[in-house]
Amino acid sequence: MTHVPKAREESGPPRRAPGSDPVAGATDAAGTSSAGEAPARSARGLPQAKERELILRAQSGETAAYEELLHAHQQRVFAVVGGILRRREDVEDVVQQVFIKVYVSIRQFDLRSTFSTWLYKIAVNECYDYLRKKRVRRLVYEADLSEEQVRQLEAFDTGMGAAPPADASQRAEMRQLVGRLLDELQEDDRHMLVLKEVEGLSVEEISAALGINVNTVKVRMFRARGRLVDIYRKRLRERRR
Amino acid sequence: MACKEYSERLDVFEDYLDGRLTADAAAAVTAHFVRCAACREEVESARLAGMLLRAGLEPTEEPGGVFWTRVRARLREEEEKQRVADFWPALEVLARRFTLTSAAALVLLFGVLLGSEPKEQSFSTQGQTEVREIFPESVRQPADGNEVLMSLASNGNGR
Repeated sequence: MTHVPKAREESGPPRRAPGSDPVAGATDAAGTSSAGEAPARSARGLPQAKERELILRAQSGETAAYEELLHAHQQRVFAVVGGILRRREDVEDVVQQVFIKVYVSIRQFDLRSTFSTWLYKIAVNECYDYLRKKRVRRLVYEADLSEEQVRQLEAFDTGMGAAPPADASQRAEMRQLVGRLLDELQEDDRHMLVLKEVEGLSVEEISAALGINVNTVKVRMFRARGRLVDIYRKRLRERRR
Repeated sequence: MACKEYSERLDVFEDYLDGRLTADAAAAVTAHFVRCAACREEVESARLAGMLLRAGLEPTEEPGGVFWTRVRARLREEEEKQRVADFWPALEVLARRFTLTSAAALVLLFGVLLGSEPKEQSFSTQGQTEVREIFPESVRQPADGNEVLMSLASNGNGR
């Protein structure tokens, strides 16, 4: 193995708060500010020329370049895998597998495409493979909500529960509650919502990762939000009866 | 969706929630909400969904320091596998070459042997002729028709 640099501090770009304004870009006819990047930079803040150089060096077998390249994309890969699997204990194993796949197949990467798109696709495929192998079944919870979960839903209904609970046990209840609501959505819709709202990926990144057209992502995501709230209100009504 | 004006333009609402619309486009959507309660409620529900998700789930944590140690260990394993994978095809090529060379050598050897064999063959043919000449096969011919009938009767063919 060639020289391997010491692990360094994560230098990824700061996480954009979900829902906040993206990098200002061009404006299209529909009045949308495109989330375009500065022209000379790659998707995750690595200058394009630098990224290209790293890819070429990694393709020629230089492990240090491969590591530097993946360090720059690591945070997003963790977000994509975490957003889909949602099981912390599985995420690291799958990301590790993604990185190995990249190492083995980087020579096949065509420099005319976007590296992050290629990388996200590997990550998503690896997640689906993992879920298939593990035979993780979609769980539809029929059990009643706990008192705490009902209280949390009611707080949301009155607009009082926007902030995550401070108490650890309440947070755990909330996590379980949201997980239960999400499990009633279609798989792709669930992934889109979590990637966007929790992991902070842009619509373009989600589109690249899931291989779905940007506009379709927006429409499906908007509808999925509505469905999620419908489910949550239905649960609340059932409990109040 | 009840509103005909925006039922086919839900992407605009998503952009509105995401803060991606220009000021003019956002103002147009806000103005629409004043006259369309259905759209206003839908967008409010969508906003609520986002809040619910963010309150319930936390973003994936960054990996610990041991992560890259494990990745490097796996990379070393992969490189080793690759070395083994590269070794066998090379050995296969060598083995193939050796087989071809051996086969060629055998063919050559047979050729040489066959080249010297015709003499032995003609000798043995000659030998067989000589034996036949020495011990010719004698087929006794029947003397007359009665002998033929007797012979058929004794073989059971005359039934």
